[in-house]
Amino acid sequence: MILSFAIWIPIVFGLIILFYGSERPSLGVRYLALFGAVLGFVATLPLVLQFDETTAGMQFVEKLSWIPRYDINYHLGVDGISVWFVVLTAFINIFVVVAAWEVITEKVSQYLASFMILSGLMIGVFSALDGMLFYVFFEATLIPMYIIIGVWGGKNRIYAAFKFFLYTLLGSLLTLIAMLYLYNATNTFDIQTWHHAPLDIVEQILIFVAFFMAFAVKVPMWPLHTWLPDVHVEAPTGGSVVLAAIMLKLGAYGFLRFSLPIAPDASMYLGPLVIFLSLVAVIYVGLVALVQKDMKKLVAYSSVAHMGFVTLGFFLFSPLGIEGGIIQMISHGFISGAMFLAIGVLYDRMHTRQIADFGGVIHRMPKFSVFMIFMAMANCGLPATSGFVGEFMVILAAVDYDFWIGVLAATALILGAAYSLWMVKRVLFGVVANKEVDALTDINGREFFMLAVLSICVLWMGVYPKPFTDIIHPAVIHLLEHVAISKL
Amino acid sequence: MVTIPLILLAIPSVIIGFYTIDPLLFGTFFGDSIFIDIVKHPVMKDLAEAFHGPVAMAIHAFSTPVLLLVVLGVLAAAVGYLWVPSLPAKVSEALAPIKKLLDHKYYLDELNQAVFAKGMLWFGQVFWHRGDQKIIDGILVNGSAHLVGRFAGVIRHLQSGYLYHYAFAMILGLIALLSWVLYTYIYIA
Repeated sequence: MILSFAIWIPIVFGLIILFYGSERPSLGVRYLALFGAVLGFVATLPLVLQFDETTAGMQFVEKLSWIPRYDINYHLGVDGISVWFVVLTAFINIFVVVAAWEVITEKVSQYLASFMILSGLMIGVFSALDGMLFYVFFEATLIPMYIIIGVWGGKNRIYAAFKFFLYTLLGSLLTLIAMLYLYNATNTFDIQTWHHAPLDIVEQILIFVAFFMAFAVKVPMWPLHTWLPDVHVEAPTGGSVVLAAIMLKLGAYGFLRFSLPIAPDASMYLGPLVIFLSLVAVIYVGLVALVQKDMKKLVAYSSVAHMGFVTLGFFLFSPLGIEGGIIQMISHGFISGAMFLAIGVLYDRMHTRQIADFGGVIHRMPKFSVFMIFMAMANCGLPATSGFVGEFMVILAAVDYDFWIGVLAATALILGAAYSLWMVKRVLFGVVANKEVDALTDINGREFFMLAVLSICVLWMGVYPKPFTDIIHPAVIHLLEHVAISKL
Repeated sequence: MVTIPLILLAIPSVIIGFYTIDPLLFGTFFGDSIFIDIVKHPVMKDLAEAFHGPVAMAIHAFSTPVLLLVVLGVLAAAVGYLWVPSLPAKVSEALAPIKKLLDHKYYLDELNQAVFAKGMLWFGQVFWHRGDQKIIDGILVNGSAHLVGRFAGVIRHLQSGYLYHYAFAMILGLIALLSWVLYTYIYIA
């Protein structure tokens, strides 16, 4: 029942807030949301604390019949690959609620309810073991996010909301077709049965491409990435945090749960293409990040580059690569979340995100600057931060696969340092740029708490990633053993 | 001001180096934390053959060019800054191009700035404006949306709302259908 609690606690709280809340800002609603978010997070803790690291199988399994005629079940479970994302989703939700505390003043209850419901739906995606259940959760996440961007976004929010919705919907419709095909082949929507479905190479390639369209848009992979910067720029801070920290991971997770095990031969066959696209993402998008004038856009492009590392690691087909990719996903959740929160802190005070409008912030906001510099360092993969661990593992695996791929992947570290530190230099250092910067006040206790907790997570994972890898390892080995056996 | 700390640092470094160089290089100082495959990398074995303890190492230093160069350096500094203080200015004037080259650190910073930094920004701008904005977003994403709009804009004229247009289309369709039926009836049957 733990997974059901993890999914439904935030959703039920979201619905209560929606019905209870009014248009006026009310402290009660905020506390209710915070209580729900914390309760939801606490509900996920047994997943990690009671997790059996000796087995690669699904744990905390729940199975109820939903539509028996088509063998569609309410089937939940987690393994080493998915368990951390369930916890991370519930964890990040707390920050979203806290980040909105004084900032969101219009339609507060609707805003908080959207995020609570979104959090439950995303946990559903990570824990669904039934294809149809996965699809329903996967698609349902679009609705609250669409509302969040469209209602609380910036000037160009309608364009961004539509772009987000249409882009991702187009990709996932092909996934539905692939799922229906798999149902026809196996007479079930059980994902684990699909893993063993006998498919010839043509079927596998078609299914791989269909899944790829949905997941590559979500990650997003080059050249399907152009929705992300537009959406980030328009989304409110909480929206950006959830988008970067969790939503992008839905796509990468899909590769591990669907593409690789269902179409192993096609994955191997098309692997070099995915590696190529990942390297383009790392280098091309890294260079694009360098010339951005808007801080949010810069971090958005940086997210695309970092997710390129994830897909690169996955398609190297080695334990180090896949584990590195998963570690990178978790780490990116903390770092990008903190980066967007930090940009939100500046935006709330200055109502601009243009790098050119800042300069010398460190003189007025020293505490904030420490966190911002730390997160920028983590973003470029400095050792002892979580950013280093995943990138290092993926680069090692890449060198093992092909030396030159390793070299190209490693350029990401240089580009990462270039765009992250150059932004920090222009925003934080130098003389106080203008009277708006001069009037800035340092972070308050609420903002300090958010950035400090995320910094601790980044540092903890950077110094001692073993608790994460111990849980991830058996499931990855199991996956690779499965992928190694050809279906042909 | 810095002389005394430097002296204070030099004394322990001599003593520590004297006592630890042997266990550090060839002993068990690092335990098992550093492993060197002596078959693949025999450098430490070669070094061990040439190493005869810290005293011999210190004495050996007197027979190498390093010491001579150090002495020459000290002498040159004494000549330039103590005995003939006007000399450095003259030397610097005489070797002005070399001094400029060294002052600018072989112009490596300028090279980095002009080639790598500017080059990366140039690539970034091209990828962003041409690649992302024009090709991917402009042609592929928004382009396909515009194409749908244009297509709809053309075919919407078929739905004029006039009854006689629809009646005319029906008659045309009927003629086509009848022609086809008659054609197959006469020529094929």
